[in-house]
Amino acid sequence: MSTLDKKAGKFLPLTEATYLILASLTQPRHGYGIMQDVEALSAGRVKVGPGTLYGALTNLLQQKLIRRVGESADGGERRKVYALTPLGERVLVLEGERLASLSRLAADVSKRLGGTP
Amino acid sequence: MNGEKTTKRVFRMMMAWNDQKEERWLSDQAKSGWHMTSVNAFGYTFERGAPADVAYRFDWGPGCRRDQSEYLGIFRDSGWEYMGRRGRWNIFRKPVVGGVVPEIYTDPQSRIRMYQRVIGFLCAFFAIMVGQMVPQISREASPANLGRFPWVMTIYCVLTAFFLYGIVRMVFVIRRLRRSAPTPS
Repeated sequence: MSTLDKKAGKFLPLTEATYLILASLTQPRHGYGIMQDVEALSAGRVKVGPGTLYGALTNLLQQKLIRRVGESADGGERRKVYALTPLGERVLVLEGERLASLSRLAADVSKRLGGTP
Repeated sequence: MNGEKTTKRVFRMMMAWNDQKEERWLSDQAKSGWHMTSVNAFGYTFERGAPADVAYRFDWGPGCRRDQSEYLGIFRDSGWEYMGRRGRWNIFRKPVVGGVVPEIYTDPQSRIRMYQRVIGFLCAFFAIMVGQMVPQISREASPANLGRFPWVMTIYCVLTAFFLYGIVRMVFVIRRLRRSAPTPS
């Protein structure tokens, strides 16, 4: 296991909101762009309020999972733009693997209990 | 409406741990047609208008002013109107549409983290206060002051009780939130 993976593993598991925020940053976005994308990614199920988002961005910046890559200035408003760091990408991938193995297990369990997998 | 007042000023104390009580009170004002226009350390100014269902939310914002425009921008972009500050609390409002009450914190974990920032602030303030008190108390305790009513001590006791009460209140708010949030942060 690489040192990057070891470092990344310490951040797991992520909350749902954190996972979706990181997932939306597979391409650089500003704060409000993240809020809109999280809602789209989760098919409207998860909405992230501005307090939650600002707090998450502050934490993720401190943890160096994301970084600021500049500013966008449309409509005269300046907005900071965020992107994943290499560490953030690893965290997202490792959490994805964890969720995928859980999801395979979940399908199996549901089938055994007679539900729809 | 002739001759009726169209603005009012309300003097109102606010304890740092009573954010939700203030939110409800401001929403009640809006329901009866009084809409907040400004806020300062002593209270609020309201303007008369049509009764409306409006959510007010208090947020313990970022410590550094450097980030203030990014912080306010995220709230503005998502439809929250910034109304001003009371101490370290930033006040926002957004209309309630179709019975859906909007929230600025959408999971308990992030709300807990906000209250932890409030506790951190109260504790720091309290520590500084105690640091000021200790030398004063030892001066007050000199024999020359015996027999006089200990005003300074009384004030310090009240202040200490006040802060401890605030910190305990916040701890209980966080515990209640934790119980509703079984998942790890």
